[in-house]
Amino acid sequence: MKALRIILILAAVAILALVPWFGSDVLIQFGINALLLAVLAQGWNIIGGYTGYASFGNSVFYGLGSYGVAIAMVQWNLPFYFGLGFGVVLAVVFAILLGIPVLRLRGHYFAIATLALAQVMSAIVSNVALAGRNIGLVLPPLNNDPLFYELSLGLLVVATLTIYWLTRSRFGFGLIAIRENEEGAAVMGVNTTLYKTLAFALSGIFSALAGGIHAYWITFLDPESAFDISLNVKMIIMAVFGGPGTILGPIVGAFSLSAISEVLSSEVTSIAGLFFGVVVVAAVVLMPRGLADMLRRFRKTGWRYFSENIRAHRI
Amino acid sequence: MSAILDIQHVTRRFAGLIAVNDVSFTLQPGEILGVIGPNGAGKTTLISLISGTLAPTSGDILFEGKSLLGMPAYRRARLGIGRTFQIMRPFPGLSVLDNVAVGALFGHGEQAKLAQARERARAQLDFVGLGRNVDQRADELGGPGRKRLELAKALAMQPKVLLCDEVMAGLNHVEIDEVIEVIGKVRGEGISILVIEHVIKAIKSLSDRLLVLHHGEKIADGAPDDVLSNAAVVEAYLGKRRA
Repeated sequence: MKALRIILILAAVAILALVPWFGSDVLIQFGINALLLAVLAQGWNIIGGYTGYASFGNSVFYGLGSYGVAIAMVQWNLPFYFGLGFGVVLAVVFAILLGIPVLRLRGHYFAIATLALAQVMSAIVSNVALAGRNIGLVLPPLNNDPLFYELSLGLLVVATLTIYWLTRSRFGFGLIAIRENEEGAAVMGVNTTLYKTLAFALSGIFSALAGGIHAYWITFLDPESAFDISLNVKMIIMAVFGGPGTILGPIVGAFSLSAISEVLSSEVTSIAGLFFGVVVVAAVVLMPRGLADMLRRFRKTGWRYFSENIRAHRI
Repeated sequence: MSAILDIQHVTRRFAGLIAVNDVSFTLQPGEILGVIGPNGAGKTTLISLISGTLAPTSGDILFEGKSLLGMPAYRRARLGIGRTFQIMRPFPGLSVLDNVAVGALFGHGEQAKLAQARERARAQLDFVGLGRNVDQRADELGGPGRKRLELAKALAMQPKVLLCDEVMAGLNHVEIDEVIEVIGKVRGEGISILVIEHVIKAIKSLSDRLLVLHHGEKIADGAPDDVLSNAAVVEAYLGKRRA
């Protein structure tokens, strides 16, 4: 059973890796977007899904990663990979400096405090000459979509392995304990402040790397698009749709919602957003604990699973 | 013999209310100290002050001769102070086994790997009588099961001092006897225990010494029989006798 699952996952990764060799340009571009969104959903999964802190600040990490690459390549003429590293450093510094005050807040208060961060960063960056102020930066183009695709896939694999490690390490157990009951975790010896900050930083590293790859691929960025709060909403929806606090749920959520959104925008174009909203609302009502939970329980309860969820959450 | 816990003139104020007022006492190694008192006497506050989830307004708390002032709760836990909560704080979404494994992973004693921690957790759950529930989710346990789970979680930390906040409240006679037996066995392992309890009969048979709190102040401290016949204690519990 376990061996079968590993073989299935390896086969899925192999098929995904082969897409650039037989897929169309459109499919590859769709793939890069979907893979990067999956990385972002997995990054959010660490702080939101495992640690229980619903962060709206992850789009800041994404923006810092983008600017790390852009500044390194445009202003300093340094190679792309140095830029990625620079973006990661920026994200980690940000996570530590802001994590320590903000992670003291719980629940809605944490969400609201992080919600403001993207706005603030956007305003700051708009005034930094090094970052191109509000005009933005144009990166040297690299016309190599297969490379961006494989980079994104590799990053997703690393992010997912990290989360797999979380589920069986002391560190991950500490995070889960914080999510389940923070005071209970502290009196059992979990250094909650340190663990939350590390989780925030780890989450930020993956978001920053995704942002860096995206910036080089798109070859342009400005403060508006780099610190876009709707991207943060997207990663939360995807992680929650798939199953927060699970290893594969956020990936499934990101892929399926990317596909639904792609189909909708080519079929019904102008009102795609509306239909997408309907899908999300239906998902939250029918399976509030995500696809992963549904798949696990559907075998036992069948169609009753949906009716029970509706009943359990009526007002 | 030097005390493992030395509470020195500890006071805790909440705005205008004095929850604990200038309380001093010691806990000796291997001792079971019972703390009783009417509702609102400051018993749970006292445990929170020792475990570090609250800071005292004034006074000092020494553990093995060293002050705990300003030390965060997690470091006290690693030094060997384990506590249970009256309002239970399980990790609801985790299995009963993993709830206890957290204690083995993070508590006092050598830092275990996950497999070892689960093994230790399993032994601890057998010890408190939850051996059959290891695979259940913690929020599927009933009230008595959760009380035992609180105990197992604290014990998995391999503490030197165990602070029990009403682990018997809401249990029936048979279950109370079982918990008394468990606590007796814990003491047999050399762990010093502070027990808060409402069930006077249970705490009397269990404790070496009783301490009575009333309106945040210590009104009696001594052998259980002496303390329970003390006029001030009787008055606190039953009210003033009319002449």
